Amino acid sequence: MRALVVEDDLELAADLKEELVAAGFAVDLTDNGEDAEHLGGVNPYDIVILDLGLPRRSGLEVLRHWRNAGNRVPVLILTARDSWPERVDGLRAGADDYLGKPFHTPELMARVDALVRRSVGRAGEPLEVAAVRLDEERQEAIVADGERILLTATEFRLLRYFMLHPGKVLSKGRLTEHVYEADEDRDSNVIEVYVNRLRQKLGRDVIETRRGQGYVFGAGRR
Amino acid sequence: MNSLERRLAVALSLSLVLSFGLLWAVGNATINALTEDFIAARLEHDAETVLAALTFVDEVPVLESDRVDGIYRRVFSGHYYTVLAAGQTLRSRSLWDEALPVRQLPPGAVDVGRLDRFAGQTLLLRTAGFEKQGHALTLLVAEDISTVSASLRRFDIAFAVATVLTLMALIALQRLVVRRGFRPLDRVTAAVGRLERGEIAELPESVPAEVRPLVAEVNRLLGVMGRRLQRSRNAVGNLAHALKAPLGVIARAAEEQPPGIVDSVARIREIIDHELQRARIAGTAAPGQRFRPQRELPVMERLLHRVYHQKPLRIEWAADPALELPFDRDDMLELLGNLLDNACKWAQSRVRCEVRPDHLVVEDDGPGCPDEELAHLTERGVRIDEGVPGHGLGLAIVKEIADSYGAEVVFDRSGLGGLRVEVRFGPVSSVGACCSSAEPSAGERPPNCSG
Repeated sequence: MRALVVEDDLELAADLKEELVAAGFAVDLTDNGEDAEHLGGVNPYDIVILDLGLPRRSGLEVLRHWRNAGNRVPVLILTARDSWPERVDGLRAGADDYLGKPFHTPELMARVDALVRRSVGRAGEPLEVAAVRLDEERQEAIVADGERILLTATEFRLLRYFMLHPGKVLSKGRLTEHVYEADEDRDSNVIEVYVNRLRQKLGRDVIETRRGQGYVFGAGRR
Repeated sequence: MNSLERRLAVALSLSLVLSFGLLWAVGNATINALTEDFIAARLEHDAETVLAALTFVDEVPVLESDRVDGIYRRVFSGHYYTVLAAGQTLRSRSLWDEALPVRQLPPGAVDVGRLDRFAGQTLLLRTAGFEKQGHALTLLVAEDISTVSASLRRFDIAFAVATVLTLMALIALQRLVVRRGFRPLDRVTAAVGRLERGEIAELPESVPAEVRPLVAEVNRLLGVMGRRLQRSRNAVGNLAHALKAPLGVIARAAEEQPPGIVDSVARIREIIDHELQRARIAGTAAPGQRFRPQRELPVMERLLHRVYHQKPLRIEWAADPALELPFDRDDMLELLGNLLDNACKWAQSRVRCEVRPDHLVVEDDGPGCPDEELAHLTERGVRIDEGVPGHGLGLAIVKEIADSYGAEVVFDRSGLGGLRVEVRFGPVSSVGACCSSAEPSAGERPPNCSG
């Protein structure tokens, strides 16, 4: 899962990034509207957390440009401007959720989670695919016999992305984009390494290889 | 009588009636006097003829009949004379055996009078004193004026009828002129009404010069008010923004601190929220910013589902698709938003909202409020306690917005089981209804009574 945090309060942005990384997101940060619009346009984020009062270009403007360009990325507006008229106008501009500052971090994380799940059409239920259950709190996988398997941060992100898109062919490129932050080293061979590690931990046939296309998680075993 | 138009119409009609009455009276009197003078002049001439025919023979007055007009010899011809001289009375033959009332006059004196009902005739009498051949005598000459009187009366009637008809026509015309003259003012009145309902942003300035300064001033004040509201809303937004970011940092830092600090931070936030919200209330219908429930409610519903995503909520709302409330959109969003938020907070699973032209209702199936609390909340002028953290901040702002529109907020038990809040708009304006419930408090308060 990849998140973009657009926030000009650097301290808050750092806190947010920390929370999101802990929840298994690869996080990109920017503090101005122009860069935000560009980043959101080129990277396939799974969620954007957008402040409204931004330098160079307002958050609402950025959002409108994305929506006009057909970019449907889930956007949560996080702003101190949280009167009802502002919230209604934010949603009307294309936001998916609106949270006022100051906020409780658990509330924000719950809303982010709800948005991500809604965007892949899986609202609310715990992730369980092909006899693998994901404990997102503890970032552990639970296999059929109840054994808990520890995951590294990258393994967790990769597995969760697989489990949110079960039965779909996911290319190495797409997996890379959703699992890594923008400035990380992005060698798509690394994906192969992590896929193999997941196979070792969860069983060989959990992830199928489609030659020349990519990987499929839990095909035919749901 | 406060209508300029009616005042003007009455004053004009009155002056028309008075001047026409005067015209009629003077005209009538003049014509009558003129006629009488004319006939009297003729009678004077007749008197001279009679006088010429009068001689004194041995101190006895004698009238040479052939020297007077034959008309004096025809019985009741309408022309008569009577002479009083030297103790004798000579009467024309036309008088037959009737007598006219004659009074002795000294020479030179003249008396003109009328005698009605003389043998079916109306006579004009001219009596004058003369001296002839050393004898004082009084000569009365009379003429029947019934024919002239009758035509005079006909003229009088015709004149009166013409006067009244002209008067009525003039009054009608003048009404029309006044009406037309005031029509631009009607347009101004209508424009003010549309302004009040928020249909137009300012009054049209194509009005008569007399009211143009007024209209221009109203428009200027509207502009000033609009800009001031916008400015203060912007300022409030900026202040909120500026305050909340550091407050957010404190709140996050406080999450690891003892609960007292978290509560204090929350309380500071509520105070800021409330004062800022209060500063945003427009309290009037801003032109062109009418509230359309059909347009806003779906978005609000989506927002509420996000906020209460962990709760299986059903939010039902009803509003006429064409309904537009003549209130400031931001105020209404804030009012409805707070009511709905409160309702969702307390609801088990259902929230109902209804917006009508004259009221709105928001209700929920939450725990509701005790009856005495309901009655207390409903009381006019009662400020909902916002001093207790977590209590009624939303409802307090609802009441303040309602107050600024002269609306009444009524708290009641809902058919769904929880709280029902109704906002009744004043008779002047029309508003819809929505649903509401009270807010829960953080702890030990009766559920659903939020301040």
